[in-house]
Amino acid sequence: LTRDACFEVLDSLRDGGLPVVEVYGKEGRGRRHALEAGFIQTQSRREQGWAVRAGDRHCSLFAAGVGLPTTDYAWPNPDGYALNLPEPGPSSRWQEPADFEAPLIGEVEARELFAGIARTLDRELPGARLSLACLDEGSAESVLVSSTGIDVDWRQRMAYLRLEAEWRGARVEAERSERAARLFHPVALARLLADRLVVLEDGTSPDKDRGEFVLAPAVGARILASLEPILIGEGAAERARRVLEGAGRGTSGSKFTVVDDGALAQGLLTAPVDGEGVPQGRRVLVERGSYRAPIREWRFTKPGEPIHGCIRRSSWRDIPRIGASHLFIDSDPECPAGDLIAGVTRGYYLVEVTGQPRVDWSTGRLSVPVCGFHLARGQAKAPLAGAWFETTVSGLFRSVQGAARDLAFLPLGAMVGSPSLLVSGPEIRSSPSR
Amino acid sequence: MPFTGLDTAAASRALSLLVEHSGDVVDAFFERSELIEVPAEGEPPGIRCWRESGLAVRLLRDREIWAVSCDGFARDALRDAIRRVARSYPRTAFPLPDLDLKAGSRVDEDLGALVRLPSQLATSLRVRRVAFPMRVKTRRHRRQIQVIGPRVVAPVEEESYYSVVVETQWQSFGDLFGNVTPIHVEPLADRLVEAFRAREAPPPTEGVTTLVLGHHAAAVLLHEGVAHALEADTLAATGPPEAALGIELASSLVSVVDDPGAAPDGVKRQTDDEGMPVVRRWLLRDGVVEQILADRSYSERCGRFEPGAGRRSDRHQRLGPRSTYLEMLPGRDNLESLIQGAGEGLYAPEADRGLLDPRTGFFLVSFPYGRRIRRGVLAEPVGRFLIRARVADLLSRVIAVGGESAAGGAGWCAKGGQRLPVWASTAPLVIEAAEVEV
Repeated sequence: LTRDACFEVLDSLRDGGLPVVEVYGKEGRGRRHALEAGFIQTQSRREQGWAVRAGDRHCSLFAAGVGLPTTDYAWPNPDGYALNLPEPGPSSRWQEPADFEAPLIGEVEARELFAGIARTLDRELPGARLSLACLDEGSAESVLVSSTGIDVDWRQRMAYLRLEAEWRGARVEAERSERAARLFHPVALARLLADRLVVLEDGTSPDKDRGEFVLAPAVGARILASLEPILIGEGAAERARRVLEGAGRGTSGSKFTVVDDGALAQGLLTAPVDGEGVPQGRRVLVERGSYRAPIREWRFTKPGEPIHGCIRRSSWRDIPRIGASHLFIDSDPECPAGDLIAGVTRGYYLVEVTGQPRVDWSTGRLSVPVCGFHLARGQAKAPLAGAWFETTVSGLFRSVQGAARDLAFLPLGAMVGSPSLLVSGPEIRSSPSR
Repeated sequence: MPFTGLDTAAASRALSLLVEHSGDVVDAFFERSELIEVPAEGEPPGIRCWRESGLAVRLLRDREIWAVSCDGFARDALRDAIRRVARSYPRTAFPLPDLDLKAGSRVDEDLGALVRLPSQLATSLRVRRVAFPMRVKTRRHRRQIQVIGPRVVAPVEEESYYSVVVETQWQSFGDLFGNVTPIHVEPLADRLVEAFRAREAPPPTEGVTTLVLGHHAAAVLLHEGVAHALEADTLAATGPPEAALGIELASSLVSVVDDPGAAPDGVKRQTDDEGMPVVRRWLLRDGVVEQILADRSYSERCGRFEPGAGRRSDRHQRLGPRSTYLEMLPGRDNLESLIQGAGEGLYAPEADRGLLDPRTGFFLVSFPYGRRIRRGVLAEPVGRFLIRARVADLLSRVIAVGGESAAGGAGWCAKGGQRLPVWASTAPLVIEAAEVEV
């Protein structure tokens, strides 16, 4: 029904004198369960909306509305600039994951998940309190048709959990995503919160030190997300050239390989096409420490370059924009994370960031507030907190000596992922350098 | 009428089916909105239009909230939402109503004011002998809502305002207007010129100094330091909200009122987003906390707060207590006198970012540029700086409030991921011994 309505609008606009038309329809349902400031909230949503882009060689318009696409709409007069739409690409081998059909989590189950986390947290760390829990789960179906011949549909499903816990003066936050809310494990989540609280409460930081570092996936992912300005868009290559100073070329031995793949099997945002209907696939941005190319939309690719979709529209309301989908540091399927830690003679295991990473794009300096453990001969010796992990962007490209197989993604706008990384060369400090 | 065909009596009767206890709060929220955007030059599509409608039904019982929201006004949308909030088929003393809403009135397509604004701004800058590359995006926002409860049907509320975003190579500016006319463009041009002249200025030296805030900077400071700090949900994050009543939060020179009924034309409200009458709410009287910003959930929970400050950015978002229109009672002196009285210090005409950590009471306000004050007069420009302080520490150091109030948009509030326009009428402020960071 939605597809028929999309074609009806497409034909109507073409007949009205706009030869380039794209109609996007999306229908979704979602549930939110929240425990916040003493209130328990259960909310369910049904959303149905559409968006049209239409134009010709001189002008264009965007219009969006709720319900099914309709020709009975007071279209604004097209203005401004020409609209170009992609041609259909070769169909990819994408296969829809099997778990789309499972029902969304119910009220009782969600409350039991929160209660389970709170119970385990109190058992692991008496006195600790789950101060906030917010679980969003939703599924959506999208249809996209265009005057250039694109006619695709796809489905997506995701659950997102945000937790905050307090103990004595310490407070930690954790965000996790899964395909379905039932995959969240209350005991594992509670232990993660308890570990972080203990580290923050008891940890100390050296004034300044060097050594080997093992970065847990949460730390690697947040650092990677902070590098998006050199990985996405037209100005990215120029910014990368400035901060890498040639160090991004031919750095043998580095295991720092960065990939974006919108069709990643088991990825939470996986889809056969992007928001304009261009097939998605694996795109290598950095290979073994060597900067290759940023994520670039089809309009700017050079002849002969492979085209992978990279236009995101998280809702029907959004103007399609370039972005990452599953942006991650490549893992080594042969290497357990424990081997990286066991191999550290003297150094630090950084398990979480405690604030926003800072990148000074004029100098390339990268400063990340972190917590974790002091390591000696592969063993955790003491908690580390109030510390800053410091390096440069070019130093990071060069100094990743190992990547484990425990690739994990965090919802940081896009899904941004990293395995545990072994890094040598950076500094740990008690305050960021100026 | 925006909701012609809505049988409010039938909806009200149907909602009463959800009430089981005397303290139950039940309501239905109907919404239509329209947003027209003229993007910056070179950004197709050339004109953008979003039109939405939908509803939400809510049941608040003790400390539990059940809510259902949907897009559009399908015939069975209200019936379905009531059933789902009830979580079982409610006892049907009378049939649940079908919706039969007529389409909203067609919008006039006179977008001339939006389209002309960038060229008006360029002209204003040229008059000031300034020109630089900039990208200007203009928007017109319209929204109509109606809230229906089991006993009361609130009047239809309509909002209409404009927003503009100007991106330059050194800074992004935003502003809100009740209307877009050349008169409104002039102050924006003044701000752009000030920022342009300070674009390469070094930041000020860190340390303690006297800080004079202009109207816009004072509005952001009060929004973060007074409005957010006195929202019931912010206070509830650390303890009982009523504990804040009577606390001396600011110097006795600071009196702040939230009064959505006195907001500029186009955003003035009679009722809030849960249909409760808005009130003139003294947040600070002579520096002492007198009232808290509360919605019905916190009013029912605490019993000491007036509801009427419930807001939501759209039907899918949770209602929460928020300010709409902050008024700071003016003092006596004009801005020049305040600067003269400061002697040495910094002048910050505007702030571009603010953040309050409800758990620590620390808040941060960032100023994109400013001017050094030397011997009581404005001197060389300075670059970006910020203040980070506890709310009470900073506000208790206000030593003068200007006598000339100016009303306007304070900016977009993004608390809890909901983007809401906030408005203010403020006067310049002088803060002594403010700790400035860069």
